[in-house]
Amino acid sequence: MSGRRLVTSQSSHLSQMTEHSEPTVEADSPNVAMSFLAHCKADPERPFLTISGSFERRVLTFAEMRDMACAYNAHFRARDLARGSVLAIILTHGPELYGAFLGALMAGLVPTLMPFPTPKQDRQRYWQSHAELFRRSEIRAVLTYRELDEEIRRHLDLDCLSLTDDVDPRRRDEAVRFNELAVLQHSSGTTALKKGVMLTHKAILTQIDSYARFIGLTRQSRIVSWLPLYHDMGFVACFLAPMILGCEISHLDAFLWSARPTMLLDEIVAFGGEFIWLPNFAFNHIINNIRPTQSWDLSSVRAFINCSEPCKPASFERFAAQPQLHGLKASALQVCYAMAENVFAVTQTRMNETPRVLSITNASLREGGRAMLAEDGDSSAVRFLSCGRPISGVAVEIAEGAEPAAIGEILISGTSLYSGYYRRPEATAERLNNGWHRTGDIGFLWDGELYVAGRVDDLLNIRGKNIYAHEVEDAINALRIAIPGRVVAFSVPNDALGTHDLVVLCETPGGALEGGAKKQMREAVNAAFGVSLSRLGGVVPGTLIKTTSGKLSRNGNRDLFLGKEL
Amino acid sequence: MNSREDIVRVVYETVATTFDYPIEQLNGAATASDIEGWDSVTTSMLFLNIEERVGVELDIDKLLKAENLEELATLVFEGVARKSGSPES
Repeated sequence: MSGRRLVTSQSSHLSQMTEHSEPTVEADSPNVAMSFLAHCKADPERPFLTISGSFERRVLTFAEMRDMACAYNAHFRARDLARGSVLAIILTHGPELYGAFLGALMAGLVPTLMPFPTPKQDRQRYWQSHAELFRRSEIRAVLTYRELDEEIRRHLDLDCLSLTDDVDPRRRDEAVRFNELAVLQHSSGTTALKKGVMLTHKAILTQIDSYARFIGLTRQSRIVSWLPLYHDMGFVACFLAPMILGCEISHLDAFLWSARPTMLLDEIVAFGGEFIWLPNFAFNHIINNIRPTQSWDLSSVRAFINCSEPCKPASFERFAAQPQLHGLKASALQVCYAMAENVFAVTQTRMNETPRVLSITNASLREGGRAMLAEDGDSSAVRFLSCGRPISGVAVEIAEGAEPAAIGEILISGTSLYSGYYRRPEATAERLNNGWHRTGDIGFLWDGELYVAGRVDDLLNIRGKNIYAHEVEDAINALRIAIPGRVVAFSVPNDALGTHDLVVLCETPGGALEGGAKKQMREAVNAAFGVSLSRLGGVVPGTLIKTTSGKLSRNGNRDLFLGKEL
Repeated sequence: MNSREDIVRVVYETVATTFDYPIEQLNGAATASDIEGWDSVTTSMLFLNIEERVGVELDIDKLLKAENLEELATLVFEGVARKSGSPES
């Protein structure tokens, strides 16, 4: 399929279009851009995107978005970028992100959305890490703003640097050039080590079709999102899905949302939002920022879907109990287990049903093997929120055994699986074998539903007991001694004992931990997990290393700790 | 309470209490990275606390443009003046 050539002639590409004819594309080629253009043709004046940020709120119709995409398409073709070239799009929140992405797809390029450098980022470090990523992934083309022109030329080795200023909105091209590989979705983590997940048009369309059926997402649905587009949840559920299904999206600025999280609730009310995807922390962040005088009617919401990090029952319970959120159905709080390697959704809880919560004995989790239900009143039990059942076309297995409730690494397979990591055959071979992807997540199946316990990387074996780093961090955070969320747990080898020691580092306002605070932390960890906290330290705020997604890096901080830098 | 001096004092006091930071160590050139615990998530709590003190809802996108404490205080002062209808000075 990748050997097919462009059907349209060059002259037709560069014509200024006043009427919209049928776009030219290879027959029977599944294509994201074609799906979007079909919606434009069916109802061009219908609103597609409502976008707001530090600029005047804008509403773009399908026709307006198509025109913008066609202008970018003409621009990219005039740059003579070969079909299948990877194009990194580095733009801020705005309609151009949509137009440029669609235009790149129409031009047969492989767009990958990258985070724009923020004012607080060290520019030197930002570009050094991206230069390394671009070198490893062999990315040679960028679209950005003129303001980054000089910096990019200084740091990146490119064949093509496109600037938005140079795109002529009157010069449009409606032709669609097909390339089997649609996009690269870069994984989160340390920038230079990010892997580009290769997603074909076919995999994307298959995923959206299956997932949309499962949750009842249709052309009439209304999505509200503040999610950035360089992560799979925002990119697929709130960007690709509206394009493919033709539903309406209201997109808020992530930076503004972080400073005023209740703006999401305002927008749901104003827009009549029905589907909202959020990471777990966002549920807490919203509740923490509600004033006593505020209230919202959320009766339009069909689902708040918790996704992309461990989903906590306590977060749902707190959100559901908030008296100022009126009209929110209990069943509207849903869970999805998703990853870029499957385009997006792997499992999803059933709409209109409240997700199940299981209490599992602490001992069965620590000893491995099988998850065992805890007795009522077992205060040491660990509660898990169901992630639901596999969506159609997806299979889920646990690597460590066929026994019911076996705890082990989650494996996935199916019709929307990725094609591998771009230019990383070794990384691909580590994860993808015979059509099965090793997720690196640990979990178990119970009554056909998936429960996720943690990451393989997060699993610490301390004195023969299995402990998840995030559980230790939660236990320390709950003491409210450290700055909220600034706790990292990991293990380091203890060669003398032939085992591993548990280490916790936390940022405190003064950068130190008093004896009383340390005692409290040790007691909390011992009570919860039955292990000793061997090393414990306080550091000044801003010391602990974060990943690009803003989470504390366990590996990075362990390396610093072992290197005696902490 | 709406004089510029009043607003500057409110902003400094709110930063100090929100981040448990000694008020005497704050100055107009201080930035978020100088003040322990001030990050993208806790910024929301700071703004919420300032709004409670000044009694008006401010334009977040304007406040986020502040590069230091002095600019933040100026933007809060201008925001209060705008919302309360008094001329900015």
